[in-house]
Amino acid sequence: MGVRAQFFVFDTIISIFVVILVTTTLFHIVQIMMNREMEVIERSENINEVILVLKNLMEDPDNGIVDESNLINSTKLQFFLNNCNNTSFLITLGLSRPFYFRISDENWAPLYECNQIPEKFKSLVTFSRFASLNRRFVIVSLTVYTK
Amino acid sequence: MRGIILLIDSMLAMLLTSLILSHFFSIQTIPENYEDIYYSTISRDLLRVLEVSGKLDEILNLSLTDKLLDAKSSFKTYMQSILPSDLNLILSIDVYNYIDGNFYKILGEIFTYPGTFPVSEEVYVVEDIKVIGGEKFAKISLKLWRGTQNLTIVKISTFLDAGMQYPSIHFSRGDDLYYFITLVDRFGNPVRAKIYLMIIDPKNEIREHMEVEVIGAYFGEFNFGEDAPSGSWKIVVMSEDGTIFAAKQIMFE
Repeated sequence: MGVRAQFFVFDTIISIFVVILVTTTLFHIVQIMMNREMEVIERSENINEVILVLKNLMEDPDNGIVDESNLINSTKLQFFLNNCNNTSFLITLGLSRPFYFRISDENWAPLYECNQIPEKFKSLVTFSRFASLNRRFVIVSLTVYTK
Repeated sequence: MRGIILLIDSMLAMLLTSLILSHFFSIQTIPENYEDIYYSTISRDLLRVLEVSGKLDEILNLSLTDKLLDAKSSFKTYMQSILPSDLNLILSIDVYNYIDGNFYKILGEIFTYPGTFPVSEEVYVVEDIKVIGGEKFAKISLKLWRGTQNLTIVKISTFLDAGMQYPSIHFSRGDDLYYFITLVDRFGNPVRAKIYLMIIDPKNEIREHMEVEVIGAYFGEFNFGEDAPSGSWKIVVMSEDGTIFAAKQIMFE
């Protein structure tokens, strides 16, 4: 094989290698960009949902658990806890994602809970509101996440 | 042949460059956030909780009876116990008296927590009028704003029972220690973190040491043992890099 032919084979191999490298890098970069974009959108949507659902859960005239003075109504709270896995009831509150609900005392020790946060989740967001339960200060928290 | 390969290479390079550039200049369709709604509602929550708990009445009465220092101290202690650390607020109270067809301001006080004035432009204000009695009424204004720090707030609570009904920092021989550790961010979001937990006796000997992956909260129990020395014990929570997140002292007798 002549020297020119050897250079040609060498050039071809290097070029194929470069093409594979560039394609792989391109694929990874696009994948990372897509994932990041999706995470930002998902998190933002979760923030919006949790804030609005928390507002409904607290203030809705029919299903809201607090009155005008932010006192928790025990009957309405119990109704929510009994129905917190009832899909059609949750839709009336605007809740469409998996969630964890908690009422805690001022030390964040849980007093009432519904569901659990799983080991694996994405875009988890929690927002909390302040209220009174039997004249005691409590924190009402709602967490939503994406599976 | 070489020319074709170079052409393919350059085309791929151009494609890569255009993709990266389009990412930076693309119009992102991220939905609008409702954080403003959230902070407006929690400022209203706080004012209502102050009213319902009777704390506002207490502060008002102390201020009107010239016990302003007591009023400020009571306000700060209460806020310290209920308010997440990154939130700041100012409570303004103006009391007016209606005499002979005119309003006279008889009190104008500002209560700050933690003690600063807003540097942020996003201040959420809620106001209310409260009738005190007779011809007096108070105009209450609560301003709330966020700090800028990205904090992990760690709290250690200790109890005498597993049901966490009896909080205590005093333990006697025969008692078990039940502890509840919470890690939350400024929104109250559970923070996922690996923590190092140590229980240290009065002789500075580490009696328990563990590494735990926590999502927001961790509950544990500790048996002091028969040979446990009396005195001040410490529960220390550290981050992965050894920074102390929180420490709590308990007494064992």
